[in-house]
Amino acid sequence: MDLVQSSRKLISDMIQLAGSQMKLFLMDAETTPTVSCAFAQSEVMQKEVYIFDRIENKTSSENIKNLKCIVFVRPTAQNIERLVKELQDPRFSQYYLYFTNTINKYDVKRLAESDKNETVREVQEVFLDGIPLRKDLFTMNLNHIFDSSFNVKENEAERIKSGIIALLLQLRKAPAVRCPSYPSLLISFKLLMFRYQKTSSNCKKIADEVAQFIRRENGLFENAKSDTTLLVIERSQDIATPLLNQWTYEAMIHEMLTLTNNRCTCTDQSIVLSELHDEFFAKNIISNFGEIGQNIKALISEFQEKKHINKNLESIQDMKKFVEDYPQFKKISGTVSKHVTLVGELSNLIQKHNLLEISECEQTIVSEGDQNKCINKIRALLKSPKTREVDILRLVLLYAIRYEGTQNELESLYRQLGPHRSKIEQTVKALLSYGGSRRRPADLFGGQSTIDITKRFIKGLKGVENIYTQHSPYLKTIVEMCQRGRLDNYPLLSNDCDRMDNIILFIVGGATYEEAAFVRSLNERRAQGFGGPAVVLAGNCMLNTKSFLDEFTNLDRSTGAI
Amino acid sequence: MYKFFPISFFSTNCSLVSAIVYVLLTWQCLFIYALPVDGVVVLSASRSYQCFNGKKRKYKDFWQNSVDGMDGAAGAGSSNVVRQGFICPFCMEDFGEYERLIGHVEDDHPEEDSSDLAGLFVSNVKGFFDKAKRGIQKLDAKKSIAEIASNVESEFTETTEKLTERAPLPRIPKPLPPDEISSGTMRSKTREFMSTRELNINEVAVRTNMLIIRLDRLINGGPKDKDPAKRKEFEREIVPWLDDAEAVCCPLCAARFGLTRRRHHCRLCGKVLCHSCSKFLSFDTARSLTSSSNPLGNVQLDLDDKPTDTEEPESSNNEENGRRSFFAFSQKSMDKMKKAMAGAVQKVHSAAAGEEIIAGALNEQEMSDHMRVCNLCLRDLQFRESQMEKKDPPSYVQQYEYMKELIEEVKNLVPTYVRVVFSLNNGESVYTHKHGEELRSKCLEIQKNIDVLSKRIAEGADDKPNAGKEQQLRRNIRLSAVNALQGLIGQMESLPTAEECANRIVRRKEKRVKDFARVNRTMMKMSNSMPQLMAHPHLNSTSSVSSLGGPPSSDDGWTAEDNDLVFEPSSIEDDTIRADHPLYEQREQLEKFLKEAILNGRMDEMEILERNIKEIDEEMDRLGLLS
Repeated sequence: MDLVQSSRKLISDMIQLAGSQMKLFLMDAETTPTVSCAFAQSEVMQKEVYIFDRIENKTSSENIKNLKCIVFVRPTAQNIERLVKELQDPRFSQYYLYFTNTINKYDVKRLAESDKNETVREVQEVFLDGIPLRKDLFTMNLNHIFDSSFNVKENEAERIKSGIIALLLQLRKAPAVRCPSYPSLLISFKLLMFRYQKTSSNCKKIADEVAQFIRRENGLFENAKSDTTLLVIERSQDIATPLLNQWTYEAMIHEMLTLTNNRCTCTDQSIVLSELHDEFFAKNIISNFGEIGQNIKALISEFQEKKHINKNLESIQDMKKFVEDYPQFKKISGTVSKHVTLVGELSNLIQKHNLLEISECEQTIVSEGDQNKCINKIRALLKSPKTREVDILRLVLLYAIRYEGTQNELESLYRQLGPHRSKIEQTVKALLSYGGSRRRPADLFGGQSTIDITKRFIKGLKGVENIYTQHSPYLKTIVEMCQRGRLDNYPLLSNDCDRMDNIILFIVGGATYEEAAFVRSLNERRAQGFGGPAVVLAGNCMLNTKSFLDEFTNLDRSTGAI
Repeated sequence: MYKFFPISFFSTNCSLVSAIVYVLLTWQCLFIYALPVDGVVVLSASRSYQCFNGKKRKYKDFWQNSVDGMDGAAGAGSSNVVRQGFICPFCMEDFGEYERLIGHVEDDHPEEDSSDLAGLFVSNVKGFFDKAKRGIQKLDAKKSIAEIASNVESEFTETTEKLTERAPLPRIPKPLPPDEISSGTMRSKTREFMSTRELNINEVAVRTNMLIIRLDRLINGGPKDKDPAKRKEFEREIVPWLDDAEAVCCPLCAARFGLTRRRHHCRLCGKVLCHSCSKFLSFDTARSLTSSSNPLGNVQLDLDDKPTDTEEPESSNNEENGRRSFFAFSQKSMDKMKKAMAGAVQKVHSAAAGEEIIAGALNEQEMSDHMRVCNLCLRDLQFRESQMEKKDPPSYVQQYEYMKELIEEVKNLVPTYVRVVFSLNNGESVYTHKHGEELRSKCLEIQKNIDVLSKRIAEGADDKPNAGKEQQLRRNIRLSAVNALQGLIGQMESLPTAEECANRIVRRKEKRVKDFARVNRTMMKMSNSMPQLMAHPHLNSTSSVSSLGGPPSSDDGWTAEDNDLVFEPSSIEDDTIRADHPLYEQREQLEKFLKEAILNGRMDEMEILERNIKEIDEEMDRLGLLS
């Protein structure tokens, strides 16, 4: 289950099918990141694809015959419309049409009728409808999916559904589909007991449609293995994770600098962080900040050693030899400088915004649970001039989520907020109504069972290794339950699977890099032979605190409008 | 903290056990020490012991003779409770007799996740008794007790050694093999698409063919004199015209006909339309259309086009705007027009867009040179024409194709070069230095060509400022060519100089000679027992470099004689041997093939040839032919 490699294979198959000759790659806004995350541009150029174009900007009518056109788009109505126009007046000699998902008969007919020049050579459905960020991380860059009552909007639900289906087909899995439901009411009616299960309607709706699709299109799933469980869960189950400061490399970068399609901007410099082409990054994706510092140091000293040799180059013969080494040399120096800049910027931000202290407080709130200690810490931090507004917001939010019942203390916190108060209060309200205790499992912050309490007690005795990374996402509990087969709270919506070797987790509402790091460490352990299922994490977007809060502040605006 | 649990066998129920106990008691006492020690492995003065690693506890059972055992127990276990009997090492229960203990261990401590622990224990208990049994037999054979003891002991040390090899039982996780890359799912809709398109295309094709046939008749037939009335009659004969009365308004623009907006007929389909919705098709264009839809005409055209510069039609097409081309066009002779046929209809079309000019032009020109057609028919015709359009690849496409070939070639060559360099660096004599040099210069030359070509491609677009896409294309071609070159040059190690090569060859040979000498020495040792093989005439000489050709000893004794025959001749006669010996001939031939293969970059062939040459070299080395 390696998403990046399988995407690479699909794309290179697509290109290969078009044969030799110069080629042009025509994409849409959503498929562009798909391709760019799987391939570097120069790699595709080696396959004789020289121009990349977007189907949206058909400004020039300049036609270059002798150019084959590979079209890789989502089968949306607009794209079909654009293609129809393109085919009526073809700019290129041949067209190879690839759609990222199923395309209906009517659209095929329309395209066929418009292709009077007989330029189309291939029409294929290639199931690759999302962005393979990492080998076990899939996203769709789909934000603002909720309407004012926290239901997923119609179009977005459709898009999520097709994304999941394509993901399943890409991995060739016909999974058992499950989604969460919590027993919330117990009605006793004389002798009959009805157990009323309140399900997450968003998950249920999407999961149902996926299950239906699998049943309906069984031809597509002919070669698929049924050794997988698909869990469609919702962000409301764990709204604490996206609010925390992160300390693993990738998660940190996303939290502080915002990573979009493996790219981020750091000190006016665009940086690509690709697992494929950056060995250092691939090794350190889930290392924590301290480890990265050390590793970078090692990298620099290695580089300096190289430089040392460089200085010793005296004879022309030596120089020649050195130049012949050139591509490697450049590669190494490139990664060094890139990561030095990044880590420098990160530590700069940490210093500036007092993030270590804030993070410590956050971790205390979510994992220790001494209410007085928490509130005192928050108060102290609120007074600090270094603390940003977003950090105030997240501390208050975390507190509100953790101690949902205690209105008085929250009120006292509000009073301390000053000018931001109304805005923060509103956000707290929105978030609590989305992911409050009614809409999440009871054991988000550790269960109340004896085992859990003992566990916490032992942990308290042993002390924590790193106070900044105490928190583990609720996803961990879900995966553990899955491993033990305790999925009573996640009723089955389709046929059960034969074995449970793989788990695909889809989070409606967005995944976080903390969860991604957890999944990655699971898979790494598995690769080393410690067993356990292979896990793929997917979500409609990758969240950091900013984008997560954005999701709900925008929501407020829309409710205001209504 | 150590705990010792000496176990001895007191039961006399079973005869076997009693016999053992008897034997043991006569010469030594048996103790099983079960040590439930957390994580700590205990060794006492025992000479032989076995250890097991359990899931939580580690046990060490050791067996030793009575004196040692007693000492050990007394020394280490003095402060602990000493228990005797058939004690289970897992649960510390006394079972009184051997059978029950075994039964208990098999039943109550079955193999759990840390699998073979219990089994191991059982088998070891059993194993001990087997050995004891053997001991008894030996006793029967009246051997001394001491011997038995040492016998048993040595066997134990053996098993112990085996066990300790297996001892570090914690499961070392085996890394999983990398995931298979699932190729994902693709579903082809091509067939569905094609069949739908087929239907549609056929319809259009039939209609267009009809138009072409009508067109052909219209331009080739008709009255000779240019009387418009007669002409009209002729046209109506071929294409039935729609009655004027039936058309109230133009079907295309829906404007009502009247005094200012006159009715016109399309000469091809006979429909009524207004002036602005109709276009004029010149007879010349029509002729080119009809003639080129005839396959013979097509071939003719092909031949005509070939010798002309490929860039000319393209550029002229681009430059000519409607108005100028229209006049130029009408005055061109038929031949010339055929050449410029590509895009002819387009020109008419664009010319018609400049409405007034055409009207003016028409007045001047004779009506018979043109005919009025409707937009729809014109579109179909134009479409047909664009399909027939010659796809003359622009020059950069050809350059590109050539460059691609070059890149392919050099991509094949570079690995062979790397291989040659490697071989030379190793001091192998398969390739000569000259080979390497030739190959290197060839690679470099091709790379230079690629560079020049790609540069030319990139620069070609500079004079076309409005062709953004094409410029981008050309630039990217250059970019990728440069990338490819960089990668290739990066692979190419520098060639060792001829001197270095020679040095390396000498060094390698020295090493080989040393190797052979070593083999010989061992051979000598071995052949001590076989005196007839001992006398090897060349053994002594192999140590010196000068006798490189000296026969290395071979594995089987018989070659010694062969070597004598071949090698007795002095160095003066070497040349004759060189010429005579079939191996030389063979080698030379192979070298020739290899050289060919290198220059053509055929890796697989090279591999086979190289192997063959090496084999021959070895054979020659063996026979001492190689100098």
